[in-house]
Amino acid sequence: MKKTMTVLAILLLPAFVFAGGQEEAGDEGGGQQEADAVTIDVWSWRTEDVEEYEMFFDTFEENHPNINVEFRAVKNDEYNTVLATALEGDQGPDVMQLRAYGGLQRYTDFLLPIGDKVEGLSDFSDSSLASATGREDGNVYGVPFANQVLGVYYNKDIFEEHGVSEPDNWSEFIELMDTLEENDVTPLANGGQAAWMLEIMFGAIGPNFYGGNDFYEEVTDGDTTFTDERFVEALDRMNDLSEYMPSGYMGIDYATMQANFFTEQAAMFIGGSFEAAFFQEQNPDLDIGVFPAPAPEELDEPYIGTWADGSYGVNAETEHQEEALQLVQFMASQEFGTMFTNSLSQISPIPGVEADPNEVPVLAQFTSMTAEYPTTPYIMLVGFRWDQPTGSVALQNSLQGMLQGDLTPEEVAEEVQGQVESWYEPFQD
Amino acid sequence: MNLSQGWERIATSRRLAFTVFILPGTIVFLGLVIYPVFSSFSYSLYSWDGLQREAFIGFENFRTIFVSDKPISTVFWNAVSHNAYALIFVVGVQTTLGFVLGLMLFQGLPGTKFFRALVFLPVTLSIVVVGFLFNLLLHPTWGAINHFIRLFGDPEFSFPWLGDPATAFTTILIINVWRWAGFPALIFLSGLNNIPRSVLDAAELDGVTGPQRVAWIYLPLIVPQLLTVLILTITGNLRMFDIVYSLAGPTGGPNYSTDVLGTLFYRTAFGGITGLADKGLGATIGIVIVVMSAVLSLIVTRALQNKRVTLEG
Repeated sequence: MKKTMTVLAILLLPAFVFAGGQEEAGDEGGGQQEADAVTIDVWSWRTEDVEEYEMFFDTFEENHPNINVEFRAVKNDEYNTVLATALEGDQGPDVMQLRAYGGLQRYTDFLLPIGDKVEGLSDFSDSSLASATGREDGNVYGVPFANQVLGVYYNKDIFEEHGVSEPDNWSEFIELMDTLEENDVTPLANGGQAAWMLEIMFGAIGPNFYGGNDFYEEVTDGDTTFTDERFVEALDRMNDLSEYMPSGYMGIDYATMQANFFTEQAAMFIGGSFEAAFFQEQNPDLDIGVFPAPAPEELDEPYIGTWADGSYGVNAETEHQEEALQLVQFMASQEFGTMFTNSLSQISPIPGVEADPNEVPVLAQFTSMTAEYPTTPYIMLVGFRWDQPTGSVALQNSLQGMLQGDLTPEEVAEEVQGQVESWYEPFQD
Repeated sequence: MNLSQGWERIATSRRLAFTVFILPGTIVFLGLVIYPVFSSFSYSLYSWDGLQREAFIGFENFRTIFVSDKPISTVFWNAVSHNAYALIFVVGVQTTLGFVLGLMLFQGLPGTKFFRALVFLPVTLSIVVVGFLFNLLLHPTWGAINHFIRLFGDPEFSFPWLGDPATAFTTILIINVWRWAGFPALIFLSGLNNIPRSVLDAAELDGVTGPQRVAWIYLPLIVPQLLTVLILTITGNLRMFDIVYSLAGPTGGPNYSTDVLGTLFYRTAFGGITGLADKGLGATIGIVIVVMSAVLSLIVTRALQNKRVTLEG
């Protein structure tokens, strides 16, 4: 009998422990005011910007004392998985950062259409809104947060030291890189291990050779294909750049590319406006400028590759819809846009928000670039990321093959065409 | 109350005790192993729109992966060929190396305890540590390995071991061997230690020496250990994921040169940054991995069963 009691006691012990824990948790709820406060969970892939986002949300909380915003950032390349799993299991956040264009589509069933619920959203530019629009139903599901612009960053001190300046066209660009190389300076910081960065490089320099928007429209309509000689030409020019990259460039990962540039090991970095804040933060003494990816001489002006980065949307199943909508409404305001642009060095898509040229000079340069020159969609993201294998996946991996010397530009074009053709209907007619 | 009733009561209570003790394990096993396998199998029979199940399509997903002209089929066979290469490489190199290490530790030379710990050390390291360590060591610009080569040879030497499709996968496999060789070594060592002294003495009296002793005495007597090692190596290989992920990323780059079934499964089922998820195809690849593991393990078990030698008397 004694034994039985002991066994029983041991078996029941965890129950008491858990019960105790629960009671404690209940006590913490505490005062009447706190009990009324609603917590809105916000998820994002910007682990780099946690501090800034918390600052934005502090401003919001000051004006909305009944709302408490919990910001959680998940590593960029794991974000989709984490978010998808959470939404499927009804564990999703109230407000979440959403990928743009094709990346958004898989989530629309879990999202609240907010096109007519958020004031001022309809004033956003069409290209920004397109990034947050459901392809099938045409509903707007998010408030776009940033536009990205592609260009060539350069180190002003290195340029000055070697008596070179911003190139006006492609041949001047090549000449400039030859000069740097003769002086034992690595011209480009870029490498090939991070496949997605190769797509970024191509997004910057490609459009000038495949003919920007004309080609984009033709290829998305299915009037031409990626094996078009203009596209092959663009790939060929990209291939020319490999000799100006650091030695062993195929083993250079993303973090190393960035470090090559901000530690002044290399003179230029082909990339997006999203790098500006990071470079400035890592090396505040760095004097950097940016110029458009150079076009061939016969082209009057260069194309600037751009896209909208994504948006913030509301979970359709949220228990706090009203509060979540108040939060995204705030994220569509000029107040938010100004804070966002100046503290994160990102280009805000909110109408009327401008980058302060004294605060972030490179960013102001990026914005003026888009005002001065024609912009063109970042081709694979905007046009070919609806189904798999995405145009991006196809391009990135075959670009690695090309820079390695395993594939010719023609073979890359065929590879991309073959993979996209497997699902892209306009190519199948 | 007679005697047989008493025995019966004891038998019943023992059976009850067995059931009670086995139950928690069984429930966990059913819930976490058996159920997921069957639900994955059912997932693989549907078409999916991202996260939502659409229509029942039978074995269409399997057809897409095995024989269609869709890009996923090309990528799948590419991954299978890498798994096959890995299997041959790792079974060959890692098992042999493990056996040699086991033999060396069996000699009872001074310092055996120290070397036994040393050989097993990499096994205890987390894959995150291994990935980080080798990414640094192999870095083309500041990695120690290229630096070492520069010291003794070409001062300009800068080779992207993980960036060149020709070397990337073999480099990863060598790291894998470095990481795991201590494991078969210890298993073999325990097998060797179990061989009765009398057998070894008899062999010595009969004049069996060196290579003969390895081939005629050691090997036949450690077949059970060999079987364990082979099955663990084979299933471990088909599940290979973490080492590729930590050294080459989820795309098995550059240009799919290090892609294996594990990373392909991960990308297909979950998407990744610029890709899109397809649950059905992902589940299909998962099932293929399970079936391949089972079949290969069975073949190895069958093949080695007859080779087993039991000592009599």
